[in-house]
Amino acid sequence: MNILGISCYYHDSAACLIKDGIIIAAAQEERFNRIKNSFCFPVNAINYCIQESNITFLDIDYVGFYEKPFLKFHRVILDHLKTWPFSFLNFLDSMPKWLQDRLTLPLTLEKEIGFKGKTLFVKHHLSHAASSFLVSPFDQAAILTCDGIGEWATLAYGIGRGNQIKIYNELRYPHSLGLLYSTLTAYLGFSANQEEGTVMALASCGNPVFLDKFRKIFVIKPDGSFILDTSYFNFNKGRRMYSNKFIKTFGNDRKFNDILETRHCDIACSLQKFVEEVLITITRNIYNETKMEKLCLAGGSFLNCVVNNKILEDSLFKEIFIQPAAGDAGGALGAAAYIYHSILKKNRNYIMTHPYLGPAFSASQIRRILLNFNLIFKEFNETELTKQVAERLAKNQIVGWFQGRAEFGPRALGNRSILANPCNPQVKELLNSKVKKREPFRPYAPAVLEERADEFFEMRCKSPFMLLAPKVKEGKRTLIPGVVHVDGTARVQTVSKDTNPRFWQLIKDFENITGVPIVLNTSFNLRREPIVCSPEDAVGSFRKSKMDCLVLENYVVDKRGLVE
Amino acid sequence: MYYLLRKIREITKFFVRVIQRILLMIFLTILYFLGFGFTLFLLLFFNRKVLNINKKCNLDPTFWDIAEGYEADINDSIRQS
Repeated sequence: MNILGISCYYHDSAACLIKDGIIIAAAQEERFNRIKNSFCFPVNAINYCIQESNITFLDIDYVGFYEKPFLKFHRVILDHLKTWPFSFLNFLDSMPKWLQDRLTLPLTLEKEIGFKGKTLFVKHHLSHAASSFLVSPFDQAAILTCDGIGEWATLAYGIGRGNQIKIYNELRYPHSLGLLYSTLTAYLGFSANQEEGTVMALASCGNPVFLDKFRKIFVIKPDGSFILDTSYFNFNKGRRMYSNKFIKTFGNDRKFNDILETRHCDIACSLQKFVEEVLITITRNIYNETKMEKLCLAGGSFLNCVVNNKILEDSLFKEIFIQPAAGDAGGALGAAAYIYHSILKKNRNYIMTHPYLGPAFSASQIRRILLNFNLIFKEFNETELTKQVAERLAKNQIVGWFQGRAEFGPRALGNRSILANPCNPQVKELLNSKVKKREPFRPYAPAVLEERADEFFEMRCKSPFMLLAPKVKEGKRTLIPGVVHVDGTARVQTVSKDTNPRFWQLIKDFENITGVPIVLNTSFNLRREPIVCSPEDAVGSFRKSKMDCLVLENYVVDKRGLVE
Repeated sequence: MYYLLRKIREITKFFVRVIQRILLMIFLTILYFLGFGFTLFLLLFFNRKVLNINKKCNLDPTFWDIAEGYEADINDSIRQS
């Protein structure tokens, strides 16, 4: 049985194909159409999933959509009514999209991919819950989902048992932690729904001096449920998400190119602490209510690895699971998994141990592309390759690393990565000047051999999807200065030999040279571009940047060999 | 000749799209100010409850809403609402 899951029309469009309960393929549309956080109908991602599964569109039994469009439209219309006449510009902006695409998904499916079968619609937060629990290693667990907004719900919790999910309670729009975070992201001069991670990084540079002001905006009950004072916000009332009252409280907003002041860092820090505080209260109450020992988290808010780490440390749960595409892209996976397991009542037979569900390219394809680009390259066997690359890393070179299937989700986890030497204290400046052009306060992440992670980080469990930010052990911080954030944490990826043997071997070879079983791993993309997907994308980024070398499967291209 | 016809077709298509867009904007503007305005007026006088959906009172013992519509039912999932 083949089930295609789709998420689109808000941000992070994606498709996922499940065959008899096993995820065969999953990919985000942005990787194909090269538009970051693309919200378009994911026609390229769907075509890829079909191709990867060796089936035709006629073989799809069900299509699952990650939310209920009419229910969402109900909320949108009611919100326009409530904010009339101030929502006029938003109305003009959003209505054509609703009328053209969002309310006519079955027609779009027929037009774009010729699918005439059954389309099932799974509620937004149920899709999130399913995306985590149904592919987790747990037989039963509590589930918490949190993001900006779904149809009405902004946060929901319940339990999962076997192949069924029961949602107990939810909080509804406009009371949303995710929207608060996005509002502050925009207020601090970054792009809402895209650069929340930047605010998270900025938070470490400040002090929580505005925490009480955030507490005043919210009314929080002892059970963790909350409402926000809507007079501070302008949701749907104009281009700005915050009101004049908000500006009076926190000061003037920052424009995109303005200098970052201490006040901005303090606001980001206070926001981060506040969100942590609320989510910890909620998770503790969920523990008391469900008495489960394991917790599955999903929704864009749980891409915040600092929050995840706090939950792991301070809530009473023993284990947590978050799949790599915790944001809306994961909704495609959740919708498909929910249809197969919960609606069609099929037993669970898949645990998500790796994120490598995207496109791969054969050696002959890569060779042809390199020849087309007139590049001089060398081919190595597997053993030589990892040694050669490890040596280059040890010499402080920056390496573009392109291997196997692309990752599903926003993190590059060793198949579409830029690698560097974490022992080099100047590596951050080097990467920022040569390739990434990031804000100087943003940290880079370490990829560590799974079995050695405990030596360097205060970890309670594995972090294969780079979704935890534990403290770096005191004695080890000077060894890996390139990946330690100002607050002494690091966004760790633990690399297992079973799930990514080549990447594991590379780190092992690096350890043999330097004594450190860690490499710096950042996503293979240039500023404001999606992560590379194809060898052409990789070569393009390599040419535009000042990376020292590019490794595509077994082929190594040196910058000096670049024929312009 | 073929090139010319194609060009004419493209230009016509472009103008049709622009006119379509303008008409849609006019329609949406009328709908918003008259349709929504009138509906809001009716709701304010006859069914204010609809506008107060999800409104909470600080004195409520909890702000949690009981989750509804999350059943694993194929007939429910066919519906878009």
